[in-house]
Amino acid sequence: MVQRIDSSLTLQIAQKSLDACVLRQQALSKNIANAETPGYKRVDVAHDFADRLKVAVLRGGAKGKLPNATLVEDTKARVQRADGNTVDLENELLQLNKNQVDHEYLTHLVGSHYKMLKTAITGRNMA
Amino acid sequence: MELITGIGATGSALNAQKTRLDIVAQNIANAQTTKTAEGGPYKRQVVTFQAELAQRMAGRPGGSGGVKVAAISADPAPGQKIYDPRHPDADTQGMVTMPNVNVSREMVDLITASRTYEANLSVVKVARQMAQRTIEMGR
Repeated sequence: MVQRIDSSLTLQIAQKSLDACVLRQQALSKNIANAETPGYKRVDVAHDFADRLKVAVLRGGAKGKLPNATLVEDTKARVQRADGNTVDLENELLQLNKNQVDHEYLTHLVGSHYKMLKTAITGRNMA
Repeated sequence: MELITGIGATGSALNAQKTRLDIVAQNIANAQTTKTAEGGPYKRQVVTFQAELAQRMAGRPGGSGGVKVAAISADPAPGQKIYDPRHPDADTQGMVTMPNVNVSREMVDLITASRTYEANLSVVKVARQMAQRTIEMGR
């Protein structure tokens, strides 16, 4: 039987992780924007996303049900300022750079996957 | 859909920090101003920030909530009194009330504001590079 062209598990995992990456970027930019807002609590992608994704994959998630990343308030963050703000600017910038590398890796992965498909379809090396 | 993610929040933060820089500049410029339109010496102005759409954000922490300037208010602290009987604003005892601006404190504020501004700029840079990678994904 012919498989759907986008049904590869790797691609699905990469898509979900890429979604999480973009969501994380949103969270980090929000945190940095509010680094000086009194009482602001930092947000982040739910800590258990990676675990949930892993469990879903081990259960044979290729048939569709991979979890989506969600944004939650980071309750573990320590209070950084007297006004109750929990944003640590250095840490946010560090995470921002880490997230950028993750994103680059994932886009590369997805990109090379599509390149492979193109090669398979056309029979020519598209590189 | 935003191609460059999270840029809305960052933009508002850049704006808010710029307002703060303006106010710091105003405070330093008026560090010696003893006469104002309202009467009395210049009062140091303080900028307070507020998370944008705080009420709408309550249910969903995922929104692109930025930051805005909640208020620019006067610092109520009393100004220092110095003895200078020849000053035109001196009272009958020869004391002049100076503005409650502490220049070194304003400098600290200036640096904090400019660092936060830089942090937000690097968010823009990273977001832009990420968008670029996404566009190049199929190539």
